[in-house]
Amino acid sequence: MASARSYRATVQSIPNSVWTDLSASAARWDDGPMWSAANPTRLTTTASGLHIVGANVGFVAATGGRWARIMRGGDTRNVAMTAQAAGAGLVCAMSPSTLVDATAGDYYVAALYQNSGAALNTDSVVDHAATDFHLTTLPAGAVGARRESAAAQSIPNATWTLLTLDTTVFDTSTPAMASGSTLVAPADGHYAMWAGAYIPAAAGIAGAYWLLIQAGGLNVALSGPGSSIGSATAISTTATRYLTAGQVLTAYFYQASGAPRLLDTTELRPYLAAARIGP
Amino acid sequence: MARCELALTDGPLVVSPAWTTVGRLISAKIRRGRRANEGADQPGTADVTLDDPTRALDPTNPGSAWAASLTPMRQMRVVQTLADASTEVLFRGHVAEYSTVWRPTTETTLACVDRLGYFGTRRLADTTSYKAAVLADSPLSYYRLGEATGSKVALDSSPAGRHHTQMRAGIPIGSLVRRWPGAVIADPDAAASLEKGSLWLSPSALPPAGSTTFTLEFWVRKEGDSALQLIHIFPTSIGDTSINILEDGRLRVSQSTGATLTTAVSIIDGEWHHVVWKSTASNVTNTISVDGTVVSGNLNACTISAALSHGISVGPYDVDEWTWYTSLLSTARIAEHYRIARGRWGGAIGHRSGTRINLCLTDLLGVTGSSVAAGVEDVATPGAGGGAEKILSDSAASHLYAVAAVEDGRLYATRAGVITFAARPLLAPAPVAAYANDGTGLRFVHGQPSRRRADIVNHAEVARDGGPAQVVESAASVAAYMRHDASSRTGAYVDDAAAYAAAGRAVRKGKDPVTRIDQLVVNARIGAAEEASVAVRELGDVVSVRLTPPSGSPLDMTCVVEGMSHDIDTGRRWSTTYDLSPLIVPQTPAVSAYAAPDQAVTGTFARITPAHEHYDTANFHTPMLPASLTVPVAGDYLIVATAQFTATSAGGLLVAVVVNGTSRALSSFLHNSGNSTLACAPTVYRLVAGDVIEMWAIQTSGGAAAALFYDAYSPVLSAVRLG
Repeated sequence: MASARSYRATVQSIPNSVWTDLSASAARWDDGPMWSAANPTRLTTTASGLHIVGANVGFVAATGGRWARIMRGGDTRNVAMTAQAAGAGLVCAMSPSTLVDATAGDYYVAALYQNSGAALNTDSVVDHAATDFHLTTLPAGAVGARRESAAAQSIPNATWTLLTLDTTVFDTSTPAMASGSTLVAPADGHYAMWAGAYIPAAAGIAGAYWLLIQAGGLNVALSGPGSSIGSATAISTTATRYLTAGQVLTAYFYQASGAPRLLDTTELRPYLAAARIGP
Repeated sequence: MARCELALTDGPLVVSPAWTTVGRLISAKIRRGRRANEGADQPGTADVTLDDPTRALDPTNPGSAWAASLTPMRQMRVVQTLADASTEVLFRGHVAEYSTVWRPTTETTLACVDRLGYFGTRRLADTTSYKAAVLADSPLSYYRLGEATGSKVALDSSPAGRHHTQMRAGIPIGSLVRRWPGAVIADPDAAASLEKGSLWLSPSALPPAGSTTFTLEFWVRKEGDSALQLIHIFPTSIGDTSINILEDGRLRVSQSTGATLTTAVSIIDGEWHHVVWKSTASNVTNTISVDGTVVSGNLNACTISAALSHGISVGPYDVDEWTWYTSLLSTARIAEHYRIARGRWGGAIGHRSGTRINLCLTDLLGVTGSSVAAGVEDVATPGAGGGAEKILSDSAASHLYAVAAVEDGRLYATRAGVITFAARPLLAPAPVAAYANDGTGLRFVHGQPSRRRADIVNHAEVARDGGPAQVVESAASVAAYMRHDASSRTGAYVDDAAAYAAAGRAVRKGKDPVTRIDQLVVNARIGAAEEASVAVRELGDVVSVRLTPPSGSPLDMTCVVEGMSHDIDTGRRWSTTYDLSPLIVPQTPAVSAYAAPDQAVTGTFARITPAHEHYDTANFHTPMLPASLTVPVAGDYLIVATAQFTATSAGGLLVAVVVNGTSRALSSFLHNSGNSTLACAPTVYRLVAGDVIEMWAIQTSGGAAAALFYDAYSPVLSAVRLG
């Protein structure tokens, strides 16, 4: 099992309205090496298999919107995204995270975007979580799956709507976890689960957006409201739970913009992922 | 059938004896491992009875062919011949006793023990050997300092009996405080520190006036970085001389003349260190050694004066085995003293590592005969979970079991006589055999569900300190066949509600009731398959057992063979009993804790208290720290903090995962149109045991403190170890 967590010791200036890769200055730990000063924006897998990839980033307090994304090198579609409106005197902190099934040598990059109107620094006040980026191999024996939606799904206004997932990105479990729009726990054990979705910019988008994961019909992960910034928004959520074999995971989306909204499939396909970490 | 072979060897621990079969029609009762309902492993035993019409094995028969060789602790083994003519050793050990009965048919019974049993007959020879080694070097005075707390007399263990009886004028006499354990491992004699005053020895206990050559030997143990004076000697020809611990932990001999001699390494580590200071007439080769590492240097002439006095100072340190010699202790003797005291069973303590038990075994066996099959974990962290041994045992075997317990493992001698240590929990692979009484596995005669009383399943007692309203709650529930105690009396709770809440948490940590299978009886003669399966079973094997009652559903359990008994009657009747325990597969260290009821969150970044648990597999939560999760074992953890803020239309919410006081993941959301706000902050962080995980939050609605919901979606802090 290998793991690395890179970080930036100083603030990083993020230009206005330009996606900018997080550039780390060192690693808090690195079993790989997965991070190098030669490629400071990357975390590179050293072995094939399931990985958790995530970022913990923040901006200094200002107005406007903030986005964070994680993408595999060479891809055009993200594996995780989150977006938030900023203001109210709060630092804007985001923690996108997800499960990936990587091939040794794959690398991942985290990037930030903001539209405050001017360049904006990452936060350096709230301890040291401002620009951390982590990649961790799951232990041998862990199994997992990720289901996505390749078709744009319309979410009615003010209605909790089941995410319709039609594509299995990976499923390493036997028996399979993927089952329609759900993931089914193959055995008793401790699980981590992720869900995410992206709403592209459109007229009248301002409003509130929520995402939740249910396990056995009970809410286990919630996140929102996604955005009221009048621009594209993204929500991700994560949870860990003990599940018994056969328990079903589902993801639901809710929005209150006043009109139906289409979920994006270009920047980020709606997804539900889960991994059995251990007994 | 079974046969017994007795080896004729020239010593009990010879590894490769020549085995000579002395009897084939035997009766034997073999017991190995842990008996059902017993809490500890025990050495194995075998009582082997042979028809002995010629009295060949009768040690009282001078005409016996074996009489000259029949001495206790000869090696023996019981070998089973299987249906296919192959053989399996069922027991290997040593003959401990003989018993002969003269009847029409003479029988000889050999009471045998396995190798651990052999050690059970051996006292720890080292318990007095340090003292013996010191006395062999003719000390002037020798204070073991094992006196009871409060004593103002230090007894001299040398033949001269120069007990400490005097105090230095004007200085209050110090009383001893007994400290355990002492410097000498396996020695019940304790050490001491001083409470108030000083311990001043009488002149008669010291080198006589005019002495220029002497040795002072002692052991010291200290924690903390404060400098202090250990010993003060005066007057001498050059004034006072003292031995001090410097702030950086080094030792220094200091003289009034300003001359010093300083060691190189720190002794401030809470461990015992062996210190020997030698002063010579030549005055140029003073040495001080710490744990055998010698530092030499020049000190001024130091001739002891007539009115010499000498004292041990009060201070936060422990001292032991205080010895004066009027000669120079040789380097070889210093090394021998150190080896005897610490070297035999010393070494780093590694929780579940097997390191210490292997050292013990190697030392006891003197040969490579042990096998350490530890599920190695945490080897690199000396002291983790180990702590100081308390060696009060009266035999080597009991000491070995104690050490095995320290290392969280089981210790047993295999069928072939090899002492083996296996770390717990037993990370077993798939069962090696399946026994069933419904024809789906190896047959057995009888399975014995647990007979333990079914009166209490979970029981918790939590006390609240202070006042007449002491709260003691016993929360109990009843179910069949399992008892689980969860007691905590360490918590000091501020009110009754907190105490009750803690009791409730403790009860919920209890396991669901299960039915256990404690014993399985197999008639090994019922079939070749069963016979072979029985012969090869070993302690620690994992087997699956299906016990189908006359009616109802079968009971399936995966069990560990904790103990094994063979009852053999001259090869005609033979039954084997396995003492079983349920195989407990350790759960992934994981916790999910939530806060209830509503917790107020203000405009100040503050800690949330997730005092309740969805689950907690590794005691992250303690009643004393309801707001924190304490990491039980090192590793990379996925940590998630989530919370739902009450609906409001202004400001925002920020939730953080805080590790050891530093935020490692944050998530913020602005409040929106009077809707609830939900923040989720996941991260992966590398933690070590003892790290503290907390959940903090702040809200900027601008109003008064508002609530984090607990009813619809509680604030949750969860963590799971990733391998």
